[in-house]
Amino acid sequence: MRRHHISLHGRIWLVLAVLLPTILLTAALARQNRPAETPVRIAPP
Amino acid sequence: MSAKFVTVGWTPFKIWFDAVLLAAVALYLAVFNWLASGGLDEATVAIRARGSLAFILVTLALAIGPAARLSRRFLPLLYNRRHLGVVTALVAASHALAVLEWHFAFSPTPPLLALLVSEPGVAQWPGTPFIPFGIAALLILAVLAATSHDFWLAFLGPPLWKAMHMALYLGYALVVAHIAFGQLQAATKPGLAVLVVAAAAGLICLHLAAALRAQPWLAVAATEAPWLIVGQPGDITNGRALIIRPTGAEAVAVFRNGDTLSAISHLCAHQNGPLGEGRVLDGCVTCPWHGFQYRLEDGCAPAPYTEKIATYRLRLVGREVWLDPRPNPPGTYVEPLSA
Repeated sequence: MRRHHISLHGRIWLVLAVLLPTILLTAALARQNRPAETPVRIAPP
Repeated sequence: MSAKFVTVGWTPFKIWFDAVLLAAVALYLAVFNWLASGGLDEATVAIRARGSLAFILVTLALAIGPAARLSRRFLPLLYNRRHLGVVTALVAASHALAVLEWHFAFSPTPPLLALLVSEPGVAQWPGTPFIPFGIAALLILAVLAATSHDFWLAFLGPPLWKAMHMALYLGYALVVAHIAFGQLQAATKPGLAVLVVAAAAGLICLHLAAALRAQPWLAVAATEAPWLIVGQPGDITNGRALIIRPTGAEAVAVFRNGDTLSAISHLCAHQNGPLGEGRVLDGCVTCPWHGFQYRLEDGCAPAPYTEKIATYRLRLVGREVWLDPRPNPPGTYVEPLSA
């Protein structure tokens, strides 16, 4: 007898383990590549 | 498990839990206001305070499940997780209202419409609209909060209700996207970025640790189909179970209770909780999520409760325990196997 595949929750979190860093890295790249003149989008009016 | 319907089954712990939760919410908002006062206007502080609080609360709500699987000390929090979910949805809604009252209050366009059409940065590269992520996440939170009462659990049935409430995982990804493409694009201090990265990384690690711990036991096909070989009688600890996931069938929990073995459904009739991760207490399997109990021999909850789950047949062949993965109708008596 041996242990094998992980549970449904584990699978969902494997997807999120890829998705969440991807979102954060994409956002970091978007911020880095923002043109200097791009206004700050959330700012006190 | 309740014998009669009550609006909310208040217990001293529930009242204490809610009081601490509301006090923590008030304290967080007060401290945030105090720390941020001076540099920013009141409306912006309110938006940020409520938004960050909603993110922290949804992270905590998602952390409770795996934490309770890793340590029983967190179980009381699990029993009251729905109250936390409702508070999270209310805080998120108050964040959205604060945005509507401030950023779009003076627009000639109606605020709700302005929210969708006047997204700053939409037309610019690399401007990514972040408000739709927040709206979608808020809608998910609102639906989950509205259906968190036991009435909806009974009305929709545990499998559908549980599947619906797993949309919170999608909601969390949307919240992270909302923050990452919104406030993190403009933030000048690292505080929020550190919070988001630490929360997401912590949650992922916690869930994966819990998933690895809850790995099912692999049963191999026996010579006589469709029977499966579970293992040897000594593989199962007293009062605990091995969880078997037959191909194309529901998971089965094979429990040891003293000198006998019994197989029942791995899924609790209440919320599809993982019965196989529970323990045998007073001769009954006790669900680790909410304490629903079932007799091992027939899968019936003890009187006055009426829940029933499927039972399965077991056989001892030589030194091997065999399982028939075809479920008996819920509540069917099966003689426990002496092994």
